[in-house]
Amino acid sequence: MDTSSSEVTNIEVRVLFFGKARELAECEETKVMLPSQIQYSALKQLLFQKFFADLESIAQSCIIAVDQSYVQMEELLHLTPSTEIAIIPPLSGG
Amino acid sequence: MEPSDCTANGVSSVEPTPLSKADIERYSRQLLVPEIGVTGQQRIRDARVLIVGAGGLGCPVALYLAGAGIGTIGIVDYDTVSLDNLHRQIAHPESNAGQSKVESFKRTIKSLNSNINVLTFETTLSSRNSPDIFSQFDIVADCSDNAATRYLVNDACVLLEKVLVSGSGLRWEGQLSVYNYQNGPCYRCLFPIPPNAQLMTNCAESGVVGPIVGLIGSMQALEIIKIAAGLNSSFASKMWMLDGLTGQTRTISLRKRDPSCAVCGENPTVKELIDYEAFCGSSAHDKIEPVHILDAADRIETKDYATCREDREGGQIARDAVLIDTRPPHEFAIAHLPEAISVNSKIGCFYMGIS
Ligand SMILES: [Zn+2]
Repeated sequence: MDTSSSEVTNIEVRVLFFGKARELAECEETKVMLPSQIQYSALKQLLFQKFFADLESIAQSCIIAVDQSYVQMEELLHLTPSTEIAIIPPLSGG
Repeated sequence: MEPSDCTANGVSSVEPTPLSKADIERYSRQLLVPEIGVTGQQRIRDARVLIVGAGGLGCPVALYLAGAGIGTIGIVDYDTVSLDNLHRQIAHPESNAGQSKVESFKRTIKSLNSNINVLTFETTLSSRNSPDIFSQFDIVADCSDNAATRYLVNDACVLLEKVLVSGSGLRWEGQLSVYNYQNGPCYRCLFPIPPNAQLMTNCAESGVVGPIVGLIGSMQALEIIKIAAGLNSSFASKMWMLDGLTGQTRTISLRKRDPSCAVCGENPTVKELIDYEAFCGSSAHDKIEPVHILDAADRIETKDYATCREDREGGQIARDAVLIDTRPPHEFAIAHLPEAISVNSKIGCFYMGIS
C-alpha cells in the first residue's frame, strides 16, 4: 500500500510522559492534535516547542517511542487515533 | 549467533567441569528448570559478573546472583552504608551503617552463599581503573546512581566487549535494558547527548520507592542468569519500563546499533575512556550538588535567620518579614518554620532550604 499518497488529516493522539518529562509536564499523559503523517523531526519540534515548551530543556536527551517503538531521525511516521507517543528521558538513579 | 561460542555474549566457550554433588543438591530447584539444567548451572557457576554500585539496584542483583550460584561476583562502590538509604538497600543490615558498602555487601553475599568468590573494589569507578576491573568479568550490571558513571560503564563495556545489563530507578519509575548485546544498541546509541546536568534529578533529591529498584534489580538478576546460562536475554534492543504508581509496564522496541554512534559505531570518536564528569557536566555520585545562589548581600543563611529569630531586636525583624518557602508541598510537609508560607513556584527565585 502506498501510504505516502494517502490524505494527511489531523488526528488526536495520546502523549505519555515519563521521568523528568512527567515532572516538567506536571501530568502523566495528555492528548494533542497531530498530522496523521509526520516526519520524526517535525514531530519532535511540535512536541518540544509548540505543545510542551516546558520540556524543551530535555528535548535532546529524550527517546521518543511511537506505539512502543523507538523512532529515529528522518523516519516518516503514520499516526492513527490509537497511537500513543511516549516521551522517555533516561533515568539515572539507583 | 550461538551464544555459547562467543565470550562477548558473556558465556565462556571453555568445556566446563562437572557439578559437585553439593552443587547438585544446593541448586536442584534451578537445575530442574529445563532451560537451565546441568549445562546452564555449570555456566552460571563459571560466570563472572561485575556489579557497579552497591545501592538499591545492586542489592537485589547481588542477592539473587549469590543465590543462583554465580561463581564470581565483583562489586564496585566508594561509599559507606547510610541509614537513610536502607529503605531500598536491603542487602545492608543497619548494624553496618558507616562501614564500607562493598565490605558490607561481601559479608551479606558470603552469608547467603559461602561458595561465591567475591571481589571488592572500594573506589569511585573511573576511566583509569575501569579497564583493569572490567577485564576480570564477563557480564556487567549497571546499578549506578548517576549519569557520568552510566556513560563510563557503557563505554567500558563497548571497548572491552562486555554485555551490559542496565537498570535505573527514580521515585515510582524504573527502566531496564541489555546493551551491547546481539547487535543491539549501546547506551550512547539511545542517549548520545547526556542530560542537562542542571535538570538531573537523583534519588537523594527526588526520592525513590524501595520495591521499584527491587523489581528492576530483580529483572537485572534474571537477565544476567539467562545470559550466564547461555540463554538469550529478552531485552536485546528493548527497554522494559515500570511505572509503579499506575501499575503499568511497557516494553519499548529500541533501535539496532547506531552506525554513527560515538563509541560503538563504524567510525567511533571515543576509542578510549574519556572524562565522564566533564562530558556530563556532573559528578560521578548522587549527592546533592551545590546550587547557584544569590550574592551574600542578597540572602541570609538558615542558621543566621534562626539566630535572628531568637534575639529580641532581630526577632521583630523576622516577625515583620514574610518568609516564603518555595520547596514542593511534600517537602514543606516534612519540616518547615511555623511562620513560613508555602509558595511552590517553578521559577523558584528564592530557595529557603531548611535542614
Ligand atoms: Zn552505541
